Amino acid sequence: MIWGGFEHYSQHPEAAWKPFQPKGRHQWDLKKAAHVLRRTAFGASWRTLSEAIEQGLPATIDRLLAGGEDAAQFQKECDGYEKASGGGDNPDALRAWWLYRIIRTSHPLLENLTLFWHNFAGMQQSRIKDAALMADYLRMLRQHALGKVDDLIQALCHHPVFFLQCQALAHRKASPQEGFAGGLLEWLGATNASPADVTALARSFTGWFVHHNRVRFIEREHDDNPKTLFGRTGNWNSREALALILKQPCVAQHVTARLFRWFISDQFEPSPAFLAPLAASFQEDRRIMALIKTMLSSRVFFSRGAYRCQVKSPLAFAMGIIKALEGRVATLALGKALAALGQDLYEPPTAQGWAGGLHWINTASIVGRQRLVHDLLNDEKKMGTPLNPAATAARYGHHDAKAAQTFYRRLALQDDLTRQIPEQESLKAYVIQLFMRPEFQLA
Amino acid sequence: MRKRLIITSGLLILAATIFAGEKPRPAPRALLPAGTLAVLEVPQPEKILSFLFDPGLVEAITQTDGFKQYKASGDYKQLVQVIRFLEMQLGVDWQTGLKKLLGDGITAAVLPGGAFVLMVDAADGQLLSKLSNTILTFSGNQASQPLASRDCQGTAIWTLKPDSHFAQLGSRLVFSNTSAGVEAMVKAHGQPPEGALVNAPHFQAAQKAAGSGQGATLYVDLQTLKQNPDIQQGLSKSTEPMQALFFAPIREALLQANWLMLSAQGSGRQLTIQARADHPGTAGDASLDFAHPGGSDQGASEGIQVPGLVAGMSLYRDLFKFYSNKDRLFPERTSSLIFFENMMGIFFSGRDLTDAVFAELKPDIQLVVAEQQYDAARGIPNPRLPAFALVFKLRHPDTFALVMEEAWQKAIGLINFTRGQQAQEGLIIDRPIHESIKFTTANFSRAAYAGQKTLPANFNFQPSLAVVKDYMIMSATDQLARDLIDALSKESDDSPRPVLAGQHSRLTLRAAPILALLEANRDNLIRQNMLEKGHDRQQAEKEIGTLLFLLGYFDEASLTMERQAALSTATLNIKVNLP
Repeated sequence: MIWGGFEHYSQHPEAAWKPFQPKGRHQWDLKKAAHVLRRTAFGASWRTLSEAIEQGLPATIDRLLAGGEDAAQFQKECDGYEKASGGGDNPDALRAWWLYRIIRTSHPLLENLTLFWHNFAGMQQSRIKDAALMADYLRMLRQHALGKVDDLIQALCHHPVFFLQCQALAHRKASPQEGFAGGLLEWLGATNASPADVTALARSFTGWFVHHNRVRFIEREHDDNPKTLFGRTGNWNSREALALILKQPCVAQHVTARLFRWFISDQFEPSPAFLAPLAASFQEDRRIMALIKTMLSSRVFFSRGAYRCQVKSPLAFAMGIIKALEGRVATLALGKALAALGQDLYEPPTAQGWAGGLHWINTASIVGRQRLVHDLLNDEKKMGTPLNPAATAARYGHHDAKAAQTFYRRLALQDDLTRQIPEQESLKAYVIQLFMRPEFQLA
Repeated sequence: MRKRLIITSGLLILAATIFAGEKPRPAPRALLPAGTLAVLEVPQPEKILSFLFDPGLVEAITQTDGFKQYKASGDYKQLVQVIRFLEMQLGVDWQTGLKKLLGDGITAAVLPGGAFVLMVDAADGQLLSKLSNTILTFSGNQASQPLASRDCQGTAIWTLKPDSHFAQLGSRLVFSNTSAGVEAMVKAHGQPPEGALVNAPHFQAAQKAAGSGQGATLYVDLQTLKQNPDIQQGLSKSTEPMQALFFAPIREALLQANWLMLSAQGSGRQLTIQARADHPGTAGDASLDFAHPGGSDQGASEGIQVPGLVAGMSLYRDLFKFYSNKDRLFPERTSSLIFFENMMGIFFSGRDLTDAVFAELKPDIQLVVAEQQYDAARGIPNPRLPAFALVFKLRHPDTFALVMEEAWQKAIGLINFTRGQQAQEGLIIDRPIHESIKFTTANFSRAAYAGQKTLPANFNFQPSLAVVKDYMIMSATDQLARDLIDALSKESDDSPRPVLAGQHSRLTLRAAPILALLEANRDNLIRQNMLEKGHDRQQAEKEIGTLLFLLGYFDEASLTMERQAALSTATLNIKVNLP
């Protein structure tokens, strides 16, 4: 790609976050457009790729951040489907509706960020045991995913799912939940918190209860005495206390680092100095959208170190195929297949979310990915109507086998193949080989 | 030029063969060797064609979205072109042509070596010859090589493709996937095989059991078929108690039988399909006696009629005998079985499940499924589910009713406790009186749903228990319990519901209420279709619309299963609604 790897930018953090300007050898081209769409939109069709190349980087990022014109209406429809699917402790239908959104939305970055925040918070359906409540929680994340970080964290920390996950259903004045407060501070990356801050935060949350999976604030159970939090004293309630925490620079640093891992590299551990310019502007601005825009436009995002350096999650792997082949698959079956590959969408394994990176790949998961590709493309209809590589290639005028193979090498791997794929008996067999190449496992 | 010459000479040989002198053709079954695995015979296809060409049915099908979609496709246009071409070549419209070509019957068989053979007996030999010529000409023009043929006892056997061969024997056309298959039929046509299937005792017994005048029959040699490892696996013993309870008699019938004979007969709006298997009378598995009505007056009883009946199932199952033989019927001690027994121990206060609980139940079991009526003012659950109930006959209702009542209330308490742990509303027990019968019912608390129009799915249920005379009703809803109390109270001791002697299982289904139920849940079905098939809303609406439209053509169906002295019989009756 362009100028150097992370070592170079670690020495020059200011340069890392400057906008990438196409010039000379480093033009806005197929590889870069595909790189952006892989990281933000779980992959792309040839049409989307072509549009991105034609529009240029700034317009592409603006479109990714804003979504299509029909995005709001689509979300409304999907909300209706989800709500009608009911509750219970079976998340299969809700998981399938989320995948349905991811496949069909014209605002894929919003779904990606919803997944990011879901991963950030690590809430698990198996603990909540109420799929409808989990869906409501996801809708809340989606609503704030690109907004102000303060709004998102406030809504998240006062959602019943958060209290249920933390098993903190009663915050009584007589026994403030310090374990809950300590966990919250650690989760937000407030590393500068003292034991006194933990106690103060726990006292500020008193009064909150969860009954029948609904949050209630009982005034008489709130500790309205003065509390000192991060050196400031006042009669803080939970919202005011959270606002104080969110103003700590280390929190902005923590969120920025997690977003860096998500969008740029989960292999490179950035130093505080490296992220400092980005974190500082985020601390000032508070808008997640602006932070993402800076990241995606930056030189470091297009650097050699960031290019094809992340192992695709099972979701990104499947979506890369589905989007490339412009398919519409049975999301109920897909959700189960992804869960078998280690990514049950409503069940991040720990409070830190999915470990990601190299943890996605082992001998069993490679076999599982191979099975998934076969299920998506072959005729058994395990995933609804099979994806049809020949039809997709023909849609773009590639009717003969050679032309279609070239088309797929460019679409799926932008010719990043280190070794040629041997001749196959059919285009489908060739495409299956392509999707199982190590290069395709990387985003 | 060479190709044309070969085809023309082939046609000449064929014509010469046909008109050299036609002798009466032997029945197709007479050509089949003993050891034939399966034979499908349709002696009068015209009846089926007349049904299919019924103008009302044709119009109904052509109005479906699915057909309109197909009509717009290239496949449909290609099909129309082929039909027009054939009509031109044969000089007859396709419907008449089809009736004439298939008029004297269709026979399909799987021969001992695995070859598949199809024999079509035309009512119009000349038309069949025209068709043969057309096939040969058309295939010859399409093929890059001249069509291959060989002579067999003066008859040309043509190879259209490596797995497609045919010959014409007078007004009979023989197709097979192997050349040897056609050859065997040609040779048998000249001289029927010594060990022909028609002389085999099993085939004769099967024919006799099916009787005459059937629209279609399918004979299957089960002895040979059961050698197949997949079928052996399918017939192997189940470890699931419920599967053993419902399907053990069917499994046993298939295990013991030498042959299976399926027959189909249409009459007016009714189609009857019967499956018969011989029961050689060898000592069966005594552990299966739980599903064998013993005397001539024993069997499943006729179904109970309630308003809005969707389905009814009558079973002759002796649960005492069933559970006494559990170690033979379902030997695996699965975790769910252990859990079930533990719970039963709690509900029945330590009574022995076999001797003190199941022994109290007579072998007459009824499952009743009925529509539910909802009060919109109190909210309607989503999805809407049908009500269902189990009705048992008690040996000692005076003493066992109280035991059951205690167990029932414990079960309701357990449900409440478990739901309470999950912060969900519980059931409130009531003991109303209906028709002078005091029964137990339980309603989910609506406190958290006041004023809501749509309620969670659990509001479909009001578990209820009632004892009427010697019947015990375990119902999923209060209304069905009341309807069953009404129905069973009216039964007099002098004229009880008839017992269907010899029948061990009987199922009836009514399409109209099922359709109404599906219509009420149309939105849910559409959403489910979107997730299960990856369709968008429009596609899903079309597919569900077509499904419901087609279901509208069914009226009702019943399935009965019985075992008489040497014969196991399953009878499926389907009534259709034709326009």
